[in-house]
Amino acid sequence: MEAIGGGELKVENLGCRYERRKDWIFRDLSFSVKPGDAVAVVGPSGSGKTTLAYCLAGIIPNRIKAEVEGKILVDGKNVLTSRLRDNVKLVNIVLQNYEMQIFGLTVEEDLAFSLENLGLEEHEIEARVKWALEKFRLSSYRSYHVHELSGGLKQRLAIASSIMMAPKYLVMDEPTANLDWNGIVELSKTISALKMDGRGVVIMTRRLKGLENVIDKVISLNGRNVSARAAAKLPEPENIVNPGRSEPVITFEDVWFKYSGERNYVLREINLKILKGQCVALMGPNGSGKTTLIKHVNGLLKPVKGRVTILGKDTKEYSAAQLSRYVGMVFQDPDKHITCETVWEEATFGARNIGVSENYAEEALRALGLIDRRDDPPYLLSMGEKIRLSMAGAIGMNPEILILDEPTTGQDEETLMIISSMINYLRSVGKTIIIVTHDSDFALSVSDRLVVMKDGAIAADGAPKEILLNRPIVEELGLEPPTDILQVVEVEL
Amino acid sequence: MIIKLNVDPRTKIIAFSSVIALAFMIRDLLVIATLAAATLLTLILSNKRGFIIRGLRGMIPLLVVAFFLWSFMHEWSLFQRYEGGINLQLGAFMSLRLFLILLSSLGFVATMGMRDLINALNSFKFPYKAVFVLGLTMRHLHTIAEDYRAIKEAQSSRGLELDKGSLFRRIRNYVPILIPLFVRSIENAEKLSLAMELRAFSLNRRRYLRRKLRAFDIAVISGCAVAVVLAILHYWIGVI
Repeated sequence: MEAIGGGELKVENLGCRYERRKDWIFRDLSFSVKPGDAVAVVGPSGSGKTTLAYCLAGIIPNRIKAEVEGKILVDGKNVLTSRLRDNVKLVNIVLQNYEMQIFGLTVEEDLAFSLENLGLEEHEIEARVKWALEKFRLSSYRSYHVHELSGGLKQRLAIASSIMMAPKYLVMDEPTANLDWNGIVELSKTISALKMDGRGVVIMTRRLKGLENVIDKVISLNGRNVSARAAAKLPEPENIVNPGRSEPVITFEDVWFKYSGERNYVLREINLKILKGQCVALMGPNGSGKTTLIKHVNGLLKPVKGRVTILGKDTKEYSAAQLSRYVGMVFQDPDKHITCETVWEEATFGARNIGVSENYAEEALRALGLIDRRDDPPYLLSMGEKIRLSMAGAIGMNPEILILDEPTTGQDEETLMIISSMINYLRSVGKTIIIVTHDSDFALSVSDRLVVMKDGAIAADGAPKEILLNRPIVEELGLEPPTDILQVVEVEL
Repeated sequence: MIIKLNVDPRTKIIAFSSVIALAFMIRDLLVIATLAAATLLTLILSNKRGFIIRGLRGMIPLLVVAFFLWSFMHEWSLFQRYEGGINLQLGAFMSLRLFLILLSSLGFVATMGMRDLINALNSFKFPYKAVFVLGLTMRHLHTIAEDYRAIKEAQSSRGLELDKGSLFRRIRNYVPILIPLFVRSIENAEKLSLAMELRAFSLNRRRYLRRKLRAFDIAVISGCAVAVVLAILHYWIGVI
């Protein structure tokens, strides 16, 4: 690979606002990144992290039209005024949706894709591909088809492929968003490798956890008026009588499941009883069967062997739509199901489908700080607001059981606080809650029971503190260590 | 027993095309029966046995109908003229020909992944633009299918009954699935075009990773070529 050298990446008085918008996303932003350094840009949802990432890579204003002021200089060239095609050799980017950036059919082919586009000689392509395979620990996956790779490996491939353009700086937009703890540890190794290679790295992220050791500087983006909109107005939980937790509302009896046409079972011998009013955190590495398990609760999947009963009803006898009266589900990516023209219509969609009063949805919107935006189109909401809208829609159906699939992914502290207080409120009125998460701190703060899955089976079930504050267990199960454990480790060091 | 031959995609394209071409050229019952048996044996021994057997089961009614039509009603054929009366040999021949064509197509679909096909077309020096667009489309179709599944699950979880009510109502029920699917597809297309630009995409790029044909592939291709040439000489030109 060509030697990396040259100057700093200098951001001078950068400002950006989208066309036909009054507010600046950010303004007078100045910082610099040295070759071989990693800088993290942190900030709440809607603070402009992705906008800044797009500016650094020259996507704004080249591909996305926006009013931009200031300069971004690399080797004396202003990224903002150069063509995108020229910028890719100075600053390249790994998008949040990195799968879109993979074009090759195999790992080797994807690494060669950019080099072929650059018109390099075959022997040079061969040498560079070999270098990247070794540098990014992909040698053993050389001939793998891309679809055979895990999420973490795909991301590593996307990073390696971006590096094939030999950029001096690499920007990553929310690289930890969909990774489990092992994935984050691997990512920090990759960032170290990039730094050792003399490349500067800029990471846009909500959380630094797991990356602290490789980050040299942190820049904070504060965001615009986010807090003003998001004031949760929940009733005091103390005023509501807890109906008790004696009866099981969800029962898994020796459940086995595999997808049709597949040989291996994704769920194996699951026996689980969840009591009314419990808040259960479901954790485990990617691919351990968490999502498959929760899809059994709302009837999207039916067990191959065994039985799942929800409030005494066998899920095999009911469709997911019928079970939605009892089980509300908040999916990870709200963009996948927003269909209506206004926030109000979206929040009441489920309630209308099953004939429940719209009052519940109205209360949920109020509690989640979205009632003032009831007439806005949903696409104008930030990601944090969309998650809250999705929650309002599920709570608006007044289900007995609420499932939240990765509600913490990519969320800022403020949204997390609102989600936490809503969970506490729902628990206090006797609702049963299941939260799928990688975030140990969040699990510790809201749940009263932790179920850990590994390889399709339940590997641990108990009080969250007992499991998550036990370092050997956390390491064995591949969970994200809570901040408390990490701090103890730092003190020991 | 499963035999893994790891045949090159180019060999597969040539072999299946040759079998289909031979199915149209051969006019002897015994020869077409031998070819059908050999093709069937090869596919049954492949690791796609389950898919092939399921496909074959679906073909049985079609083959039975073809056998009776050609045996008893061949006088009404628009394409072939045979002497009147019952002709069981013709029925057997025609249903075997149909079986061979369907079996080869089934085998092609079962053993030829999209990636293999694109690699093979690349190797045959098809225009890069066409092959790249084909690959991208197939990849995007996969993304759309994934999105469709996710949206359908999300809407079912919000009480949307898809298969209830009158036909009109059922069609209307799919609107909350199709709108986000459409929006996401457009967004994905935009992201894809951005990602291509970030990888300095050029339609003039040279192809890399050319795999050399192994001795087995060369033997299969040569065998196919000889069989097709012999069939042309025998059935069309009448030299041998």
